[in-house]
Amino acid sequence: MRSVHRATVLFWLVAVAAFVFLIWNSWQTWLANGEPAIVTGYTLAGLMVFLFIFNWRKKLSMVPLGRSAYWTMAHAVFGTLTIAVFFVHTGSFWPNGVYEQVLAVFFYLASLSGILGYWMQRVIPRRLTENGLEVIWERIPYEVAEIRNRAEAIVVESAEKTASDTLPRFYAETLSWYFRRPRYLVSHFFGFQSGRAFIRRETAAISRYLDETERGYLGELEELAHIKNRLDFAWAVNGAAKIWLLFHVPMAAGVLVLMVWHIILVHVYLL
Amino acid sequence: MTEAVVDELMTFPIFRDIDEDRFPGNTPLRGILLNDTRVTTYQPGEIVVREGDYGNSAFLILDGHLRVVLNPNLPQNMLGRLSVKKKGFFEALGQLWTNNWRPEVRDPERYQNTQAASSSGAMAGVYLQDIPAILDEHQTAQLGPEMIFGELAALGRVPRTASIFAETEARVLEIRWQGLRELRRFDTTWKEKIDLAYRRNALHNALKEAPMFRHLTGEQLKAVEDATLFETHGAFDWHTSYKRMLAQGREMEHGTPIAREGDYPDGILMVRAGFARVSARIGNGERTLTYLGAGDVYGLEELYRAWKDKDDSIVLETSLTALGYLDILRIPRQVLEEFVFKEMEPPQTKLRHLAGNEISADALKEWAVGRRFINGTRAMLIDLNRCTRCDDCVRACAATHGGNPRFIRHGATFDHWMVANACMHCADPVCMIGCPTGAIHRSISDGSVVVNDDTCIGCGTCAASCPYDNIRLVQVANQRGEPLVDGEHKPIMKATKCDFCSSNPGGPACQRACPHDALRRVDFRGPDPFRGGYQ
Repeated sequence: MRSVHRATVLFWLVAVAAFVFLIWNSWQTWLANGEPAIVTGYTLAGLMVFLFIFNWRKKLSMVPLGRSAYWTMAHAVFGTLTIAVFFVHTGSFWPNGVYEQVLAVFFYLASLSGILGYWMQRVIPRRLTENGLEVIWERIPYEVAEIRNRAEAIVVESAEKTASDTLPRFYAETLSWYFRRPRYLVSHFFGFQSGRAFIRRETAAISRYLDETERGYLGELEELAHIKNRLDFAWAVNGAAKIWLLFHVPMAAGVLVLMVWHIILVHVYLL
Repeated sequence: MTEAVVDELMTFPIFRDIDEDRFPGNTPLRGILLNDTRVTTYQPGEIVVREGDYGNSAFLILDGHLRVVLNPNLPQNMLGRLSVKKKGFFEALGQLWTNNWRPEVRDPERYQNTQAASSSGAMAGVYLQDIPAILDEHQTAQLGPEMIFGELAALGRVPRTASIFAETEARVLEIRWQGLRELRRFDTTWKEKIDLAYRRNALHNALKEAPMFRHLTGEQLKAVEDATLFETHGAFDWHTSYKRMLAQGREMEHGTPIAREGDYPDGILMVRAGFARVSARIGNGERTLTYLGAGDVYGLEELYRAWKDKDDSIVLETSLTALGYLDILRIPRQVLEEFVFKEMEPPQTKLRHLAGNEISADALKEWAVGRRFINGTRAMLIDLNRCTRCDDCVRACAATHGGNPRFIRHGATFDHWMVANACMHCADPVCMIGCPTGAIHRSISDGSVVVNDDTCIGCGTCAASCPYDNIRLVQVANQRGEPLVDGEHKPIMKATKCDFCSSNPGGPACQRACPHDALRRVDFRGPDPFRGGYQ
């Protein structure tokens, strides 16, 4: 068993034990005519701060603060605990006050984006590996430009060698759109094959108007289009894995800020 | 080296007696002396070579006397070694605000001092202070004129086995391995002299360290030494042919055959330096069963069985090929049967049994051998089925190295594994060959291969030698981002590479920063690099 798996089991045990204790404590407080929301609220606040610290941990990679893999698993486990504690604290899915409703919206968006991110981190690596084309995401536009240049060179050569404008016309009307930038990103993200279908459809459509020499050039273009299709896949899927954090972190920061003001309001007006 | 010094060298009998006509026109004797040697004068107490250092040169004493320290070795601090100072927690944290946002910023003062030192031709030597006390406390031996030493490290690319210092003022001729190789190739006297010394010392050290010979008496060990043959296979500078091979897409080729499956085992083969592949025939090809490194033995099982069962029909069950450069000792059957087998436990491993594994189970091993990743002791292995390509590892590396990462998260892939372009801190660090200033060296504290930024002259020799393209030259700048230039207004370049975060607390930042446990630094010589990690 990997050490990270062992740590995850430990985190789950701690989380479940903490939740059971919190429920028991709230019950005892309620029986004693106390206000259980104080304990659950501060527990929730503490958990949120802990979850947000993970973002700082990433920026402090030069100091030994424990392996990030442990932090990730702790983030996932205690993130789940936080959702459970949130419902215990609010007692409902949708709170009453407008301010609390805004806070809840931010909390739900942060939670849902967190769950989505966790799912993506589990699924995306394998999908990228199976794509079979390992490329640094930031370099993909350069790679696409390189493919486009090669495709255009093939088209020019075909025009020179065959004295026919069929392939250049096909490129100008159809393929230049495809090679210009990454295409079918949504389709790629959801695992559909729109890019491959486009290549198959369009090359089949033009093939009947070409002679053997031109078909040779079309074959080269098709090969480049398939490489480009794989690059598009990497651009879409790897991009999604990078972009979701740009939503999750601001939402989490929003929750934190709104939470601080919520605590101040509670202390000023209710306690 | 000047023509005048070469003229003087040619008056020494060891060079005067050489038949210059045996040297080809493009590699004349005088050319070798001019380009591959230098004369250094050492003052009494000055250290010439230090035990544990990797060196590329052998030495010939011209005049004066040196002392070799035999036992015990000199303490590390006495050898003038400074282990890398680990940063404290707050010092490491301080990089948050001390890192310049511009990459590769350096303090120009450091290089001014370096230039001054090099222009004066002075080398900062390390001196032993109390020579009489050293002679009292350590067993030493005197080395006199015309003696050659250091050929072990120069030709075998192994660490120096002993420290040597000047007893009197001594002039010493340092011969680079390239020069030594040429002298050995074209002059029989030099060949005999070098081989004799090399063979004697190498054998003695290697046999002394092998567990199977520990029970032998001095006389018995001497008998084994006398019977043992010393062999070298493959090319010393294997990295050049390896790079050519990769460029031509012939990565799965395996090197020089040494022993073939089905052959009669006439002795065991003990690897002294380099790597060898053990394989067995399968179909029309060879299947890699395992690979052997320094200290590993081949052919022992078959020989032991033949001796135990008194069966002379037993043949080798596997083949052995050199992967790049390989130094081996061939210890004949007769001496093993006479001195060794009677006292030793039956060998446990049966290499041939590895052939019982599923064929696909060995694919990773074949890949690691084919790409020579087996050279890596701390290779960056990424499990692509876990890696989200978030680049937290790259950012962590940059944060701990002044804002510029020391590796590229890209590299050779097989199935869902990637060996990224990060220094692997090789067992056979060919990058260290030819560094003119010794800037690239092994760290004393943890054995990682590091570059001394102050003494690196940016010549790019190491980057060109690295078979895995893991060293990069960068242009350095001052605090204002202006490129630093030398006296001729050329930009100052520096070699950069992964230093395994040797000065940072907590080990390699890349591995620590990976949120998905996908990146590990692994020793390919370990039991299964695709399971364990560097500890």
